[in-house]
Amino acid sequence: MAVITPREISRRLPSPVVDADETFDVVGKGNTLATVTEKISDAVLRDRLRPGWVIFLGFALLLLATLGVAFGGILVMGVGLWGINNSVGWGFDIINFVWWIGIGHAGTLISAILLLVHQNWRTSINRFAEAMTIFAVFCAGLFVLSHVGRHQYAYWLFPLPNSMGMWPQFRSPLEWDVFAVSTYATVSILFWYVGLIPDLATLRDRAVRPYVKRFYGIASLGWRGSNQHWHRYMAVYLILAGISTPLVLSVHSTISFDFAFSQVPGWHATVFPPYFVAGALVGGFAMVLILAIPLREMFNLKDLITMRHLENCAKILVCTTIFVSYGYAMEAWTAYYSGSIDERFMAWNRAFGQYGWSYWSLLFCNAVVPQLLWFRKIRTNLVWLYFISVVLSIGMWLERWVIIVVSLTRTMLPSTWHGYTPTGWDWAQYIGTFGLFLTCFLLFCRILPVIAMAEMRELVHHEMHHGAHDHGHDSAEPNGGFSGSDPSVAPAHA
Amino acid sequence: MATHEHSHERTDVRINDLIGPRLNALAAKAPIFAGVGGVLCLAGLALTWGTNYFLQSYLFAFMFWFGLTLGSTTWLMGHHVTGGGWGFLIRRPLEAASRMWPYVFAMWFPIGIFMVLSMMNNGLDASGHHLPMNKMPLYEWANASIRDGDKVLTAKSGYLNPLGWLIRSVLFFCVWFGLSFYLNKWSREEDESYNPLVRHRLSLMSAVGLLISALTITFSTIDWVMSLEPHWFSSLWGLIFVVGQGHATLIVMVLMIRYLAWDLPLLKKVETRYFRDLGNLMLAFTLLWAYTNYSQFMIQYSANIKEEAGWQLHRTTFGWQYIGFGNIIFHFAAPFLFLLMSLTKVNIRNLAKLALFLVFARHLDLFFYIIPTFRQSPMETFRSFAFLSDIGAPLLLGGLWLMGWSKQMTKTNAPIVPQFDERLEGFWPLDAHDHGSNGHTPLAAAKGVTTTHG
Repeated sequence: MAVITPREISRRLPSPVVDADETFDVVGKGNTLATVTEKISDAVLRDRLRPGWVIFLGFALLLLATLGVAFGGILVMGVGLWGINNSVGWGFDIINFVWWIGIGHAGTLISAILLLVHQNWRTSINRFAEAMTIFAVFCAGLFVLSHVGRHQYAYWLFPLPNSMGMWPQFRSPLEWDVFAVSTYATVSILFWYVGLIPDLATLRDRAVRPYVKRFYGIASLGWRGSNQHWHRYMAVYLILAGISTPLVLSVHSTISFDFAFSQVPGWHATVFPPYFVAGALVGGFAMVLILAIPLREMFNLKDLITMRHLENCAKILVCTTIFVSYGYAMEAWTAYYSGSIDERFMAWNRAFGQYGWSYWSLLFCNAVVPQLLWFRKIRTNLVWLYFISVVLSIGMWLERWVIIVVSLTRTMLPSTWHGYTPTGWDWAQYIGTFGLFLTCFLLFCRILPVIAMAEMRELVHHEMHHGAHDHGHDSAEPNGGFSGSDPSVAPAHA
Repeated sequence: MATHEHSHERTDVRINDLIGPRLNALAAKAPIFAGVGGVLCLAGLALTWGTNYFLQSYLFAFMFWFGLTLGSTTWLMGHHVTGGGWGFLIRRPLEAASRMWPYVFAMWFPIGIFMVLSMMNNGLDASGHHLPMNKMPLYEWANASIRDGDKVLTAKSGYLNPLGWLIRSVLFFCVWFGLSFYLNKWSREEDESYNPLVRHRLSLMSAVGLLISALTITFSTIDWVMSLEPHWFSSLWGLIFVVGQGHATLIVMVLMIRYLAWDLPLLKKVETRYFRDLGNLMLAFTLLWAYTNYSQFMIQYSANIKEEAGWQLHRTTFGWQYIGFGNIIFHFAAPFLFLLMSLTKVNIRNLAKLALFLVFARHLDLFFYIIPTFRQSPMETFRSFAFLSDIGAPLLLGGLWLMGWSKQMTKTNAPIVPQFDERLEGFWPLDAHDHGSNGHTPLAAAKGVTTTHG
């Protein structure tokens, strides 16, 4: 039998260098049911406003004001303020709509799919990822709303009986989008809120000031943590997870149909549905990391959102970026294999036409840079992770730019060829949505628990009692903190 | 070697101790299938002489058993990367299937030889007219006179030419054989002693291998199947086959567990959640199959452009639409409803019944992808006696494949579960006393050894 020494193993296996206070466990050692509750709820209930939070909020409000001006301008003056024209009828509006919707996908994947496949590590990031989903859908919705042009008739998108006999065109994927996105938003909000109920009750019970107590009391819908409450809660949560799972595929697939059902070269590709879904997950997980890395620093949550979570997100990014790279390869390959002059010209124009820079940039951002994440030292380096996440977010935006704008500038009829330049109003609205997103997110961090407390307690309980057996970990301290809590803070398995 | 009775209680027991006789019985019965299939094929060949009906049947049967081998290699790599508990249930059968590449290459040979012969066929009859589809070479673009007279085929002849096709095909087999060789070699090493470096090497190669696998599945199926209608194209094609092969492999593996090991005491100790996981994977692949096929159809149906409409029309007219509806019911609707029920999923016998049904459904799926290119209607299958080889070819190749597979299983006689894979700890339900008289698992014992000597 060949014997290999532990020293040899550690020398030859890649081992990351991380700070002493970082851990690769799902929950940092020493955490108990009580410390988890304290850490998460204190971020909400403590009185003092953190300076970092105030500065960020100020910045976000400034951006939000920009959105107010931009959106107001569009409402009053119309979409003529934008850079779109007769040939390039979809510009920043649809790019940003798809980009924001995509960002929301990670939330649903983490909440629903990872729950169904028993990935317990999701617990500490699912809450803020779900919040991110909802705020991203808000931002996306604003672009669609402004895109319709005559905003007073936006309700015509819904099949409402009316005396004019107006009825939506159900054969159009644009109409399917209305249902796909509104269903997605509704289910995401429900899923998020249902998950929040036990935590709101914990905040109610821990709050000192009467008005705060009342606020969380109303929001927690009379939760008492009884056996029956938990039983129903778990059933509803699982059902919502089941409903949400197909939504991860269906929403962005429907959005891809907006393009693929047409005949425009560069839009009409059968690979679009899965490729769009993978792209959405890239954007979503990149945003999860962009938010999680500062969040854990700001609220001192390093031992709850651990290196394990960040590394797992990075691994998912490797998979999804490879998938989108496969999509890029298949698009280019099919353009050649089709033998069609229009398809081949589309591929040539993407790479070497007026906007060739954007195609090469997108390949660099989405196909080349994320390959760094194969190396564990990069995956566990926060600076690298943050940098790569930002690059991927830019790359995903560029992908939509290339698909939407570059394809429209050169369609099959040369007499319609036209360039596209976004105006200041386009930029203002895009930048403004960051204000909306950040404002909502910062308020969420201050008002609601950013990590699912009840689920974390369940996880801590599991680690305390089964961790050593299941994973070979040292178990957490025995019975630490599982006392003194009122019934509402009992773990979810109770 | 442990006695037969005791072997059922231990995880270091080897394949032959547990299911050796059953594998030998399978190896003995499989040639009967192959023989019956061979007779049917010969009858079909004689009755359809001068046409390519037999080759059409052979190709769709080959695609099933080839897909099973490639799917097994891919699932094996998937398991090495993810380490899910379900994978330990099917790892040995997958490894044996991944060693089938020499057999599958031999199975591919008739198609390769026919490609060479096609290069010499001018595709024209005595009066200079194009031959009917059932008398043409299998791949019409293989013929230079047809290729040169067609603008689209000429435009893509840099890729779609017989020599390129042959070279690529051989390269694909080299890549798959190479992947499978190292997967098996290192897996054997992992069984010999505790060495985390081997595990790391397996995981890393599998991660890269999955990417290679996706690309080679894509291009091999473009070459072997999509190019049967060379004017048609779909960028989703490769993924449809990735999903289809993954699905087919899962169902065959479930069948193997059911018929070779379901009544063994050791299998009864496995927690039901791993069978549920296999069922859930089948459900996921059923949904993905429907998702990819629906997307491809719906996008091309909606765009309605002449470059793509032909392929779809061949499958939605003259009775082929009914085979398509059947495909939706057998490959999606029925298994979907079945797999939604949790109780059915935890029982391997129920899963196996469904899997047997799905083997038929997958053949129908491949039939639907390949055959309408050549036959105007499903009824032509009966009128032309092509049904003989349609039934015979899957039996012939299936019999040969199963014979080879069972011999691969017995030949290596590996331990039924990896002895030193750390991820097995906690997943497998056996207690320490199941592993031997010293009360330690082989892994725990090995770790003790390394610590002591380190």
